[in-house]
Amino acid sequence: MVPLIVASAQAAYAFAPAVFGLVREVGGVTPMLVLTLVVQGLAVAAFMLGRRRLHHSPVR
Amino acid sequence: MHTSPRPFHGWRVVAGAFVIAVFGWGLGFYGPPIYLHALTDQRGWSVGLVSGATTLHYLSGAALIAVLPRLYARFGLGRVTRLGTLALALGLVGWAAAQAPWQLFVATLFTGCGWVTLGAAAINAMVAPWFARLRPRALSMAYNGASVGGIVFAPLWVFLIERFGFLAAAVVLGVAALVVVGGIATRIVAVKPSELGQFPDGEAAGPAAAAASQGAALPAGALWRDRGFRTLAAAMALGLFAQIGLVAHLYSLIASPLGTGLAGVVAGLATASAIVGRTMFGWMMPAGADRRVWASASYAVQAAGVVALMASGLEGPSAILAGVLLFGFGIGNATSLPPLIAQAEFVRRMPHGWCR
Repeated sequence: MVPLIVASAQAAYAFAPAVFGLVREVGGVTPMLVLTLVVQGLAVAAFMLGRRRLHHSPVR
Repeated sequence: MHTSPRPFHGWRVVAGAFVIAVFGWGLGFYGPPIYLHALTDQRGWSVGLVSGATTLHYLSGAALIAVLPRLYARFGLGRVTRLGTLALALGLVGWAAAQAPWQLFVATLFTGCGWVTLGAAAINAMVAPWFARLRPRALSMAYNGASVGGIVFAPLWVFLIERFGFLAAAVVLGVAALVVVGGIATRIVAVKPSELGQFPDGEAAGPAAAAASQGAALPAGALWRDRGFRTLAAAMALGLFAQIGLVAHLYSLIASPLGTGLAGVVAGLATASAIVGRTMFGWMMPAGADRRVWASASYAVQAAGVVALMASGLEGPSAILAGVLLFGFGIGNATSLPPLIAQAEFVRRMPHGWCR
């Protein structure tokens, strides 16, 4: 499963420099930094969603 | 305890994987931004065109990563690593020799497919059979080669290209990779524990340890239906998307307020901070820890760095340095923690080998 998560991550981050460049060009530096924070927050949310499921579902 | 007459080979595998990661990230990850500069400078191609080539480089690699386990099973880890290194070396020469954009795009297919055989999934495949309980420590040490790859190869590329030209630099570093990685792949990392009569962590065999070292077919469809897997895959993709997006622009953001010389030093310190963060987490994380919480904590430190950069208004060296160091702290963990989360969660829940 490690190859699958690494592959999907790489397919996503392949576009990151271009997307961040576009945001920087259109909106400036602050929107680009805000975008970083938002996406990092989503990453943490994804980690936590998986954690909640792992800790509660086996009880059923 | 360990009763084998031979010293435990696992730590040699970690050392070998470290060196392979140095070359993998040095040529395949930290190289493309420098190739971009060289090609826009020497060929007059647009940044958009070469950026598109870089995107294809990563995408072609992503496609190959998904089938790496099958390639390892069919041809062996050593042979796949050697062939991948050859593809990477040929592709690098292709980047440097390309006279037309289509030639550049063909070369990216070679470098993209080549570097992932020295990348994150490959390093995990090399180290995982040798470690179960000690895997966080072993993987963090091996993955530190990725950061060292950036520290060593980024300035080396710049020096060689300025001094001898892009083509000569690509030939020299491509041949160096073939010699060094080829040797390590054959003699060190391709060796399996069973071939030496050894077991994970260098301990006497137990059923769980032996099972953890075995490979198995990868049921991708079943994995994508699993919510735990989907959230892990999404978290890694989102985290690296944010990280690589900002890293790609970080140097140019701080070069203006700090000057190019100091900005280069500060960017290098971000990589050093990544080594500190990865090593600290690898050694401090308890065996039964919830690794998702640790990964989230790492991103929280990174986010604090982004907030510090915003608050600084990108003025003032101290505030910028603090922001970059905090952001850099999580760079290594973003790659090394997801495989460890997979090990912790899926070994218990699924047939052995799925975490590899």
